[in-house]
Amino acid sequence: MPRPPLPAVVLVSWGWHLIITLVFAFILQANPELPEAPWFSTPDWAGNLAHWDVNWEFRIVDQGYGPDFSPQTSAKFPLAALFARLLHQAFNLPIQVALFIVNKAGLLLALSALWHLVARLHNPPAANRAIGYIAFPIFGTAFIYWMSYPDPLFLAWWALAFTSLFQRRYFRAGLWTVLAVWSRPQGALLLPVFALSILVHHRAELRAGLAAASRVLPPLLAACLLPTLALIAWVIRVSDVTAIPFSPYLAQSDVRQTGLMWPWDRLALRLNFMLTEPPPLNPGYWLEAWQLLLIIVGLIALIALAYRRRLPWELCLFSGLSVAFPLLTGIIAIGRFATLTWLPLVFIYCIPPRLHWLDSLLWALGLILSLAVLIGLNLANTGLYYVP
Amino acid sequence: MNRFDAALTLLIAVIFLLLMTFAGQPVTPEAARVQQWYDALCDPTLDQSPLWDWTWRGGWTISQLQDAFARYRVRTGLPEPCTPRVNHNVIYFNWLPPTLSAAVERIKFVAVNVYGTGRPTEPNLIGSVQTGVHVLYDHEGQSRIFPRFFALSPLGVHPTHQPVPLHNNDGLLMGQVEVTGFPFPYERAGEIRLAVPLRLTAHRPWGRYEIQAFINGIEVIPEYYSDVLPLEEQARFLPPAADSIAAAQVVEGLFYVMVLEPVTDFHLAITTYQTPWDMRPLPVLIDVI
Repeated sequence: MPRPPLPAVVLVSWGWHLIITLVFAFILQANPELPEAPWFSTPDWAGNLAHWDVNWEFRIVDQGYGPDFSPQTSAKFPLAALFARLLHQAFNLPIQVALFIVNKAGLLLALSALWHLVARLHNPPAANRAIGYIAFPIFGTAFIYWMSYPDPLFLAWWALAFTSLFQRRYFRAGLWTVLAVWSRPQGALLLPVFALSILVHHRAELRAGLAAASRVLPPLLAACLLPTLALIAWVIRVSDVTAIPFSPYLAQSDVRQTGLMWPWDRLALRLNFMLTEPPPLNPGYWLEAWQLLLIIVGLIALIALAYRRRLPWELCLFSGLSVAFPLLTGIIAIGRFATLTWLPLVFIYCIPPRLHWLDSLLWALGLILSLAVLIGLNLANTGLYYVP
Repeated sequence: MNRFDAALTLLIAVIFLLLMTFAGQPVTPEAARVQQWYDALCDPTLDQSPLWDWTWRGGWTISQLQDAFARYRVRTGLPEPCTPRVNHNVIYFNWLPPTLSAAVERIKFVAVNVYGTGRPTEPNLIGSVQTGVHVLYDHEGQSRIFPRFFALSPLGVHPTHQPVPLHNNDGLLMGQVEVTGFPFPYERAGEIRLAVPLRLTAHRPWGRYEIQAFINGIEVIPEYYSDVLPLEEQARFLPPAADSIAAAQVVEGLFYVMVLEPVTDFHLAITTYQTPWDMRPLPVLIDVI
């Protein structure tokens, strides 16, 4: 039976996010006396969804990239801002409304792409459960679907890219990866994963001799060449515009004060801090600790699942790299980065499908935690002290 | 390659071209315009026409404006060249007051870092907001730059001794200000100050307020610390800026400013902020003398 492009569970989840988003945005608009957190744009409903990183996206849409941005915005990749700019200029929409549309369209695409990927790897009931876990992640990070973050687009691109990879449509996987590398720094991590996947898939040819091994080159190039060139072109262009070499990676080195550090050293440092710092620690630290705990447990589970061949190892590797890479420079926003991996879906393997109540409980926990974080992020004086 | 892949390839090629093209291009031109305006302000040897042609000057004549710029430069030491850098990351829409909507299409606030000669050129977020300007676009697409250092305000000039409503940059009614008495000179140790009785009433919590003083059309630095007064008079000292004012709180006292020249006119400009990180609103200007 053909699978619908937009399964009911996707539409229902997306609808829930739309309702939550609009209710929150219009409550803030109707209550301007609520003091807003830093980095907000305009007091209208869509502007209320554009705090924090989204506000930087706003500036990129409005001003492009350049050397005189303080803080420097070129650490943000350009695709969502480009889409918002096109909507703004083509239809004369306010930028904040354009960002809202990009986020919500990206979310619909992401949920649909992820459903189809899980349905292909496992079955539709598992895909339905996966949508619950990605839509209401227990990391408390559903705010990326409610505020106009560009992140859902990245979720969509890598889900589509992996689907094409597992279908062995390498060129198409490469095309989706091009969009991923223009969306987030983690997009580049798809390249080594795909290359390794292709090499492992063709290992018989590699062992058979040079002539047979040369047949591995076309799929490798099909999957990896275009995204590599696309990433290099963007890094050169934005470095030229900002006059900062390797701008997306080095532009914010001044705010990453600890420099590079192995992820396990960083985790040990944080653990030591939490054990030695006199209480009370602010809630932001506890939230990050919760997210780090989930990441560690989730990664162990993913490795075990991949080892038992219940999960393609490529998804496990991509998830591990996607959280290890940002941990090299800091812990900030690690829960958000983990949400854009396979980690939130680990529960569909660990919880038997018959325990619906446990699924529902975890989704409710994810929803409540995310709502608390949303409020903490957007209103001043809530005392959350969490940097998303 | 099937048709889907071909279409996706074509789409990506178009996106690539758009990304490369738009990477360094702003949608609206206020950053470049403010940069050029500030370049002219910082270096008098450059073409000064941006200052004369683009500055929002209210009812002032060109010669009044030129005279004000000349006196401002002398007072602030700006004959010494400085280096301005527009902070592109802090360019925000400002609320458009109904009284301006007939003439003005939109208002943007543009933050600017201004570095002195030989000083470090580290960008400073708060500093760039302090030295930023408003840009007012009229319905014909013309823009005018409104700096904060002249006794002007697009909101007009309010007479003294009557309450004037205060809004933040989003148009939220914050409270009101009133000059409650006549200003009087205050002499101490050979220095003459002007003292102005002032009352600020908060209708909701304020993150911050700021009061600027203008003598003969140019901004002067008010007294920030009460220790310029004898101990018995310090309780009535009204600081020109303060954070965290509670709802319904009334801040009342004497606002002091040093007088270095004969005063022909004296204005106060008041701005209020809902949070300390609000952008600067258009000032409420009161004609005190």
